[in-house]
Amino acid sequence: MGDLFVKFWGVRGSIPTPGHGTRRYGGNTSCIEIRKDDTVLILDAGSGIRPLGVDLAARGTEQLDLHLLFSHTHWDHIQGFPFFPPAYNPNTELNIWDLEEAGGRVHNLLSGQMIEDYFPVTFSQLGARIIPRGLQSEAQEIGGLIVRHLAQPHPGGSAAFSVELGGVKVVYCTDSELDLLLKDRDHSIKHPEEHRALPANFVEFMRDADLVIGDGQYTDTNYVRHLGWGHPRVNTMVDLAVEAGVKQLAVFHHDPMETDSKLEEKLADATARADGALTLFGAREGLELKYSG
Amino acid sequence: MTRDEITDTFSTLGTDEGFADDEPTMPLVPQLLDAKIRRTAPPRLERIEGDVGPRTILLSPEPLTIGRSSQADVVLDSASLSRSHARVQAHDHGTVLTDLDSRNGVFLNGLRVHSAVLHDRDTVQIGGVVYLFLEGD
Repeated sequence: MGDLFVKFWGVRGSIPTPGHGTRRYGGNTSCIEIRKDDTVLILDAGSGIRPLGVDLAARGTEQLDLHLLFSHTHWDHIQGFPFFPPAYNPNTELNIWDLEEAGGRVHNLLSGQMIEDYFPVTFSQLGARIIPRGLQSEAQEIGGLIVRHLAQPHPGGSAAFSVELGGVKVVYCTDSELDLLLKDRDHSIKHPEEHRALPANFVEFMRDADLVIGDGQYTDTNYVRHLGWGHPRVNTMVDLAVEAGVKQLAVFHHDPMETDSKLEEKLADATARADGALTLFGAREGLELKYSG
Repeated sequence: MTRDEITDTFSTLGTDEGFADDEPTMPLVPQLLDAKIRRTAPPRLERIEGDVGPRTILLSPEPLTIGRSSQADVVLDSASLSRSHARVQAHDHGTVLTDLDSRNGVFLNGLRVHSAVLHDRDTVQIGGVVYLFLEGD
């Protein structure tokens, strides 16, 4: 079936945070590249899509066939798009996927953030061939990859995606306040040591994934100051991944206030929570993983 | 400038030695000395586990291959390595480690990776050899 490559181009939440304190993990907002041969899926267009675009241009491929999928359209997931070099290249075919029932909402929002009040180049002036596409509600085939989605708890809603190639499965699960799905969240907050059981459809969506890129923005301690902000406690994500038999969990969507050292404290706590049931690491810019399908 | 030369240069710290009477002097502080030393250090891999190959691998913008083959830039004579196992290159935007489709893989801080941008004090395992990456300056 070939190899599936996953590369992290932006791992930060909310707003780009360049600087000394975030050097190791990176300050660019959400952007993941999933590649099989010439098929490139781009999950979210945060500021990380700019270096991805520079890299794509440098690869020397004559005709780029790119597929953009958006977990949702909050600012940190679309803000990089106007700075994506392939969007200006007439040899690029840019497929913009949206939930079929959304009626081209993503396309309209990408276009809307490029009116002249915000940006000097309008969407209609882009050189690429831009094609709005609708994701089927069950499984969608894209360039030999099978893509599924699942609605998540987040202000305004968001979608998780799973991408499968042969026996390989990668799940992208960001901006997902899983704690809202707990039967008794208040009890769980008071007793963080107890197991957190998530709904069966979430467990099945992740079932046996080789890699989950999972929102782990908050600690058990600081979550209580961010109830309803749309992000989970990292240990809730850990419990879900362990229950689903996930092999690797990349903790993602790092808090913009979190320095590398604070992030590593959180990762150490999450690793202890996983207790060897999976491999846990912090998503960081420039990291590329390979899975054989 | 070597560390010894720098140490010599700054050994007169707090004295007038080496300066003409009317020559203006600048305040010399340990941090400045430390910065001078760090500027002379290139990015490098320091071997911390295993007993084959060089103890230090200096990195540059020229790509460096590591492997078992005598054709590799850095030869590690170990059965756990592929003939051409990994490549390391210190670009302007960071030092990039890439697995060259090796049999036993390349590990960054214990995680098997295809490629990664290295940061100070990352560990890199290639076969049975473990290196500590030092960014230099």
